[in-house]
Amino acid sequence: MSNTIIKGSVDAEERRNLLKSINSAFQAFQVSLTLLLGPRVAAPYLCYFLFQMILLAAYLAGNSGPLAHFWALPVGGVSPEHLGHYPAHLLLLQPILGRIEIFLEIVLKCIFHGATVYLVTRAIRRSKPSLPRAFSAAGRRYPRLLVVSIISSLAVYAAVFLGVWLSSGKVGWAGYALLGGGIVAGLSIQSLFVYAIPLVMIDDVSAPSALASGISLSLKTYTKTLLIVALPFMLTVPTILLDIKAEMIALELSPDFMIYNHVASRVMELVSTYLITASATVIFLARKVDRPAGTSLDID
Amino acid sequence: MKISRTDSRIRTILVVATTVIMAAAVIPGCDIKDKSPAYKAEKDLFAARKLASELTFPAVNRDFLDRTLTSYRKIVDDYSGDVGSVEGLELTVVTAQMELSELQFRAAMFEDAKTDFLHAYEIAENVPAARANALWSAAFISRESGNAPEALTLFTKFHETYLTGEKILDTARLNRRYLLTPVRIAEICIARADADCAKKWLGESEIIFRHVIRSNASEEIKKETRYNLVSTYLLAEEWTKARDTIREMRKIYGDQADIPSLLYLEARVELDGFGNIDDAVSIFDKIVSEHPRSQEAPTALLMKGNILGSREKYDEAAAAYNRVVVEYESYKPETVEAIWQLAILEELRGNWVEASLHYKSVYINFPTTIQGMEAPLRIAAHYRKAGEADALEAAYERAAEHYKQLASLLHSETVSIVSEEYYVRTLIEQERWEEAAGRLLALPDMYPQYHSFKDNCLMAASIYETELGDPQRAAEILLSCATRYQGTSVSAEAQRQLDRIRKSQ
Repeated sequence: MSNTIIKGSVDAEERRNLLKSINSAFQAFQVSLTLLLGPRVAAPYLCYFLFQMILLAAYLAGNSGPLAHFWALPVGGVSPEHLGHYPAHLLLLQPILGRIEIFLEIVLKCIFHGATVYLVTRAIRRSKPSLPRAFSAAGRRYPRLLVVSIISSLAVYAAVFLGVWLSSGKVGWAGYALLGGGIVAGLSIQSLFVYAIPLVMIDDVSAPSALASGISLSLKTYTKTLLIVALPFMLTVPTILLDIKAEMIALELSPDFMIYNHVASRVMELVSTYLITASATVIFLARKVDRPAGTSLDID
Repeated sequence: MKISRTDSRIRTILVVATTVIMAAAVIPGCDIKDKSPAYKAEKDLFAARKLASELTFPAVNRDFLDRTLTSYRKIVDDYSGDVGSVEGLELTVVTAQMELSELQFRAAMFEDAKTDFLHAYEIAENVPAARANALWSAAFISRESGNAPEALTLFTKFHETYLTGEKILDTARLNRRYLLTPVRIAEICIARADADCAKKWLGESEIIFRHVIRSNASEEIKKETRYNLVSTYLLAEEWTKARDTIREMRKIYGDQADIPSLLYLEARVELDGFGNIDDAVSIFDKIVSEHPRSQEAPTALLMKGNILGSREKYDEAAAAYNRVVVEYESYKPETVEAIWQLAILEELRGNWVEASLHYKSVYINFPTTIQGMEAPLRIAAHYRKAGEADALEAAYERAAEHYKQLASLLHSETVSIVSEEYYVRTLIEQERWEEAAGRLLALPDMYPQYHSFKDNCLMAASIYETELGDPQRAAEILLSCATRYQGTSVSAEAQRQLDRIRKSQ
């Protein structure tokens, strides 16, 4: 009971004082980056990045025969034969791999999120982190992770697509405002679900409970939670802006630009995703330890 | 412990950096590895097009142009061998060959463009649109280069291949200008004063146009064909048929923007066909009063001015020309023609000061037009006629300076070439024979892409032989010419002239 009172007063103080929230968020980033000194912590996301690169290499290498039929599936109205032509093959890279990766993001990446949460927790608790155990722990919780991933992804994509849909056909500032509004709503929703995977992995709770408790925790620590989601997102803004005009730039410079842009996007995504997951885990673990109001994060 | 932490940090950085660098460096290589020749050819074509899109005309960078042409040629050379065995490759190779030819045409490399269009025709057996375009373009270039026999052969071949029987409509759908092929042949026949040939091809044009008008072709095609039919009748001097067709068109297209052009054609028929000058003037007036913003209005005023000028009604003619200059200044070709006609009019009336001011206005304000090129020499011609030696010399100096400036400024290559020709003409009129011959011999190296300058050596040799009385130098020039252009008609002619000079010696 006393714990709850103390934590409640810390949360209330952080909510009232923006500077304290920023300070807490940056401490979480600092801890997350310090944890990278043990290279295994970054391994799950690096594995996922390598998987994305293999997917890209497979797309680039195989643009004819049965593979072309597979690549043409995610985009309607494109014949597999069309993928055999230059520069169409490279210009279609973004929509095709983008759609495949959205699917993988929901059904596969949750295992990598879970493994990272596991390794970050082990690193903070000074236990020996093991990559196979991390994947094994995430694998055992896969159904719950999948449910959390589906619900949170659908909510985030719904907000972003609503913004895109509302902004389509609008010109000038109205269009940009609606698109920006969709992205801000998406980030806000993402910050509501950011503690759900740590709850599944660390507290071993059910998916509905993880979602409910995660949202509750996020609302209590809303400012710093929003900051640990929004600030890493800023890292990806340059590549998102390039994505918007990628086809035009590719036609103007060289269609190979699509490949480099894709790699750059995934590198920024790698960094940003790690920072969000690790920082959320750091904040989540810190709340499990008593600390008086106004003190720094006590993770040891 | 510190060493261990540092090692760990370095290891982490190395792992991440290696992963990213590998991805960035190795992955793009997957794009071209094991790709079919068709894909690689498309990639090369994209790169060539990229270079072509960077070219700026008319002031083209020669080195950059050569690089672009080489890129296109390399595609044709590298992939032609695989065309039969690789699906989709033929289209890319033919496209590269066509774009190469079109680029040469834009760069005024007419002879090369024609040769490459003919090559495109040969290789585009399974690409009908490109094949037709290639043959027609080669014929067009031959005609524009003054090679009438070759143009006749190529246009006739086009007619036989694409404009017989049921092919006519398909050909019209490819490009409507193809329907004009028999008219183009007839024009060549007329230029060669071959009346029977002209009659035959104009008759063939009428058959084709009537076939299209009767067919289920689109209204757009039919309308254009009716205009072409009128042009055919005008060329054949079948005035009644032309007038009937125009009147029929005025009924069909009465509520459209075609009326001014139909009225203009009707006026030309009245004037050129029936000699009804007053009727023609009245129709021209109608165009100007009822359709003052039409394209035909300034032309109608010019025509009216010419008619009135030929009747020595100079004031009324000048009023018509002045109206073009004042009210239609945005219509550049009509405005320059109006000022040019005003200059001639004033010269006829003996008002040389006004006339010379008009000529000066033409060559200063419209230097790259044909009137702008002619104007300085017209001024010189007046002083020669008047026997004013000092003024004549000054006029020639000004003309020479004008042409030299035009040739050196950033105008199109065509303007530079025409300026050079006018400069040589100025030197010849001044009887500065050695300079003229020297310039004639220098031009082929200055404009290697302009094949007509190959003939210059014949003219330079003739100057040395007849004007400078130096057959020895003429023979040297002819020998060099015959050797340099071996295998061409220029070389054969040079050899003939050389033999003649040697015999006479």
